[in-house]
Amino acid sequence: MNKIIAAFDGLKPFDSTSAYAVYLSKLLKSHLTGVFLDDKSYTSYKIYDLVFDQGVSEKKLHHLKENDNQKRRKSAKVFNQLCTDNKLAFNIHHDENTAVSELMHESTFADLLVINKATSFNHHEEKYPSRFLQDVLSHSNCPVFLTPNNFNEFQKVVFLFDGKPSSVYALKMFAYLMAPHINLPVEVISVKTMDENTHLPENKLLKELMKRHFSNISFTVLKGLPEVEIIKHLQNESLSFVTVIGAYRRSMMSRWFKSSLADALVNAFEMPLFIAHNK
Amino acid sequence: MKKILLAFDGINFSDAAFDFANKLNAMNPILLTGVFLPQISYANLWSYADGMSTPNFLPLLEDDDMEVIEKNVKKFEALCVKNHIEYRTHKDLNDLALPELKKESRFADLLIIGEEKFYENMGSGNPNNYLREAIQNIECPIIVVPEKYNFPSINIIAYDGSESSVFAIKQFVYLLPELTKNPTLLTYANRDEDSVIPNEKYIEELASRHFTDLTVSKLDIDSRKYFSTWIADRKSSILIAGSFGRTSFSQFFKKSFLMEVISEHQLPIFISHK
Repeated sequence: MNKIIAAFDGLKPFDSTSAYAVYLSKLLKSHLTGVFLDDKSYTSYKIYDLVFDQGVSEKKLHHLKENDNQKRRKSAKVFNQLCTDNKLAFNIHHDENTAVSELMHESTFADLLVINKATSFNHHEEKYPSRFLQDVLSHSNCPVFLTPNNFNEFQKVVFLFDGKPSSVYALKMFAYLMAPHINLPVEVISVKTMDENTHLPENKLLKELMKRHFSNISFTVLKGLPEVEIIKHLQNESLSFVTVIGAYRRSMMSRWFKSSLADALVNAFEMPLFIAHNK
Repeated sequence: MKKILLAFDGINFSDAAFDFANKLNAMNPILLTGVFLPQISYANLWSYADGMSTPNFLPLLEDDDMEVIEKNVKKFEALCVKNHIEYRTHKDLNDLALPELKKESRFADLLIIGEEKFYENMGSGNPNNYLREAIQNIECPIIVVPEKYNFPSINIIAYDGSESSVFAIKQFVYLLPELTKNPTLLTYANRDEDSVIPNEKYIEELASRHFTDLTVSKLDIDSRKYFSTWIADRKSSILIAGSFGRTSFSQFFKKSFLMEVISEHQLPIFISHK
């Protein structure tokens, strides 16, 4: 039995997160923990809302706080009801400290983290990936299942392979958690530069490993720039899929110059992503 | 089904490591890949050349050894056939040992090493430098098996509250679900009587999902001094630990308690670190 955690912003909960969390818990026969990040420093109102002609109103502050608390309680209740309806083994944690550090702590003690791609813990609309999500993705201590805005049962697994340790690590984690419970086609996609041959990197070793975990595997080798070619290739995919990808943790320096492949995929498709990396 | 590596350095063959893999295969079929490594790795020559801890000559791979290696390969294959294990052999003899092993481990679920037999003739120090370096660099979990051991019927988890120790627990349950039904003891060792198990609620919530028969306990002993003595009394168990993810700087000052347990080598150890 695994332990899945689903992370929510109580003020802006996403239905797709709970839908995927429930779906995965049933699929993997897991225990589900709803982690409600009730970060005290984050509120739905702005400081300016408190100000009126004669200074700051205590009454208004109290009223707004109560409003937020109500919203948070309500989202936890909705989650509670959903889990009860689906007869899951579940519990709920309320964490009141800084959202990122609380969630990283929770992730150490979990097998999988489910979170929506638009989670930001911010008032204003932030473009994906938000600062919060960047932190989560690069520091999580368990694999992350990044959900799109709408729930879609996935019918296929796409594994992006570049021969690097972290992509193989992601594959292993996906296999350990999911492979015993699903029987879906797996497509391995590798991208090479124009002047390289079209052989899969580490062909023999990769196949030797993959065949132990999956039965229906196909291999695709593309040529060109990974961000461009992979998206072009997947646009022709008719089945809904989940993408398994390794590297998110890149140095700040290299992120200044280009966004990560995972980010490009999230922006291009309304499909879930399974991200795991070691070290 | 899992892909498990069995690493042999040139001329040494660990029967215990093979036996362990064989018992795992009996519970759940595996693919066993025998990796035969060269006798010596010149890449590490300079780092060990301090004259004190290592022999001052390095054995070369000679024709005699070639024969021994071939014999070991044959022995491995024959044993696999006899025990109905699906197997492959990789002879990575032309390259340097550790980089090869690192790559092989990237594409494997688990690596089993015989503790005494792994580069037996490479240096004193227990465990020897080779094993030490291998453990630190490998990209999949490792089980180190002593030559005389009992197949584990009890799991002992060395939990110290660190991310790495929890990571090891997760890897263990993903890889060896067959062993999670055994009685499991999650221990936190600390001499300070007032200290509590760090994140007890969380670790219980996680561990009790995976282990059916779990006991959480705190040992009032100094983990660095007495843990290996304590563990020596627990026959036929396997120790699960993750404490290798330390920086070389911190290793410089403190000896890893794991190293001590390995050097006392009474029981198999499951090591995994990020």
